[in-house]
Amino acid sequence: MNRLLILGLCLAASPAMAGEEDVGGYLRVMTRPDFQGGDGRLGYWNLYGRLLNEGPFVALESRLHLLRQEPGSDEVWTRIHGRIEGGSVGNADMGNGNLSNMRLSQLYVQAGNVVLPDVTWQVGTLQTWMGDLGLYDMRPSTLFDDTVGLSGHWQKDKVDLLIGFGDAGYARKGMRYNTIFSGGANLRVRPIRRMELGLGTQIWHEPKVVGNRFAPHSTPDVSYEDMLRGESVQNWSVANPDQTQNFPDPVPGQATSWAVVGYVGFGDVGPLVWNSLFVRVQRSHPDSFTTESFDGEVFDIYLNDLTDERNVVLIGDEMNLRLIPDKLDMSVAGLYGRHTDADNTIAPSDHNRTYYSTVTRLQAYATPQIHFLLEGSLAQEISHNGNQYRNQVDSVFQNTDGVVDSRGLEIGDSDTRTTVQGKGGVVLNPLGPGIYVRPSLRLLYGVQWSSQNNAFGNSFVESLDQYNEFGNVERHLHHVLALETEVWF
Amino acid sequence: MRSLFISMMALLMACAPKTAPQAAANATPVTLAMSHVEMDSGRVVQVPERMADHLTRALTKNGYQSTLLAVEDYPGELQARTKAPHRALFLAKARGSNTLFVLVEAKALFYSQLRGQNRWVVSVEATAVSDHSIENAIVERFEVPVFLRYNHEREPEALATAGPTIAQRVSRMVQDARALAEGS
Repeated sequence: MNRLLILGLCLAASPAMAGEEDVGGYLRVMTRPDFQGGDGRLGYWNLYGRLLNEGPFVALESRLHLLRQEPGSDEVWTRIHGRIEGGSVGNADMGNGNLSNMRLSQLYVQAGNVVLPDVTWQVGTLQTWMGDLGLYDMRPSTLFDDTVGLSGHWQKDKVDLLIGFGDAGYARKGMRYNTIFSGGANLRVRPIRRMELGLGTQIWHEPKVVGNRFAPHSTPDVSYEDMLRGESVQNWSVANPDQTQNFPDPVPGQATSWAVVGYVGFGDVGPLVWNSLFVRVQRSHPDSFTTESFDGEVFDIYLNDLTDERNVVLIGDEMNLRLIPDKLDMSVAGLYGRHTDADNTIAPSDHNRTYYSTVTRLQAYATPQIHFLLEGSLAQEISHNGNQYRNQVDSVFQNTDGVVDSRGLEIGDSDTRTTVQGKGGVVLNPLGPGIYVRPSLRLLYGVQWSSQNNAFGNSFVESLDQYNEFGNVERHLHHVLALETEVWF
Repeated sequence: MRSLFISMMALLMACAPKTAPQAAANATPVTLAMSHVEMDSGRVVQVPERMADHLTRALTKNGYQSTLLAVEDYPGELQARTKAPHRALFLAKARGSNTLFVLVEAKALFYSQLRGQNRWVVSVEATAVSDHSIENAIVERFEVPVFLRYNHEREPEALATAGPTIAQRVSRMVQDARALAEGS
């Protein structure tokens, strides 16, 4: 944060500050007292719809025009954007608005009419997307979310083309930084007024760098199960007594991953305002390394070969309908996700699951400012590698084939979680009708039924130990009352 | 039961068909010239109908009878005037009427993608002149941030979305201009 303040002061002191600045942003803040012991969210995540399943959030973005863009002019223009955002607000969540929850997520300079006409050059962070699944707060077409570099965006009436490249090493690896080249492109065309098509791709390549401990490496002779249990070195030592010092050295390699995104949008036909269909197919980038302790020594187990077969397919659609103009709007969305990990065939994980969900929201306008909201969602999540969910209060934490096994890799008694949510209430929209018109002040009630026991963020003591002093509770219904506001500004 | 009845009545009343405000017989005449400057080409074009509707409705509600001047009817010499009050006065004189004349010039500039929406900023320069006198000119410059759901929505949608805010600000300015004209 100190660096951020220094940056701000430097910008303020710069002679270039003769430009004009304007600030925009986003915030949502709420109170959701939960008398069932939860943390104020109806369910675990926004697969069940963003409403009542997300916490507070704030984003502040500043734009400074150094050379203002003038209409129809071929003169150079340039501006700076910076955005600070984070998921905490004072008195509204456990972070209590602490600035350590905030980050400078976007910082870039744009310039136009440089070398090529109709091209906007951007240097800095490059995040872009083709659209939004508003009911889920998900953007499957996002590209360059992790990249700092250069992009060129050519924009005409019917065609948009963005090409970019840079480095995704810090976003992907943080303190274990190694350069990850990131490059890609995004093309959008509007063949007719009522339709838009988009196709984009991004490729990541992490080269082999001999001698760099943070470059991609694989530790030979390590099985996935041993790695998962943290017993690679122990089992190797059993097989090779008194040879721990000869535990295999990591072998350098390279890592490549990619994503392809597609978008079809159409609308302005009858009651259909717009329909957005997104597809994302991705080969995820492999992990770096994990550590194990054995016999007083710490060993790094490199994971390039054990985590390089993770794939994601995500398909999402959202349809916005104006059923009765200025009286009733509806938004319907569906989401399908399939994550597969060919390296892991033994343990349930977020990389081995299928989920699908549908969310429907109706918003009726009693007056332009006073609305009634009704939303329902149905979702199912299925683990590919056995049990992952505890349906009963006395479900065991670890089992194999439903039998208690302290070394089992599964959890609970079901591989499927089914969740149904219903939400409703009154919305005050000072700026008038519209499901996505903000600001919104909402008084909502939400109820969730889940096949999983206590399927919401909580601080329950779930141990089955006889010395558990707090006892266990079985609960599949969860209720939440919410008073909240949301605004883009 | 009583509260339920009142709620139902309120809902029914809300659902009743609404009629657009009609100008009173003794409404003050005002001539409106509303234009949009395209960022790409620099061309001056008509503002979207939705945006103009918001302002004419607001003026009608406040007791004005507005007449909209089409951009195609602007004299070619207008572009030689670089300041808004000069343009407004030139248009008012070319029009030849002594009514209150209001020139609204807008442009929309994309800001950024922000948490699922596209932020645009609509810059407006509104000028009201009366009695063909630049001394009675009132100029107001302001910006309206708007958020568009879809990436294919561009300048016209941004202007239309900013319509209610622009209408509120400009109709207040028109009230001031009338008060100034009546006081002078």
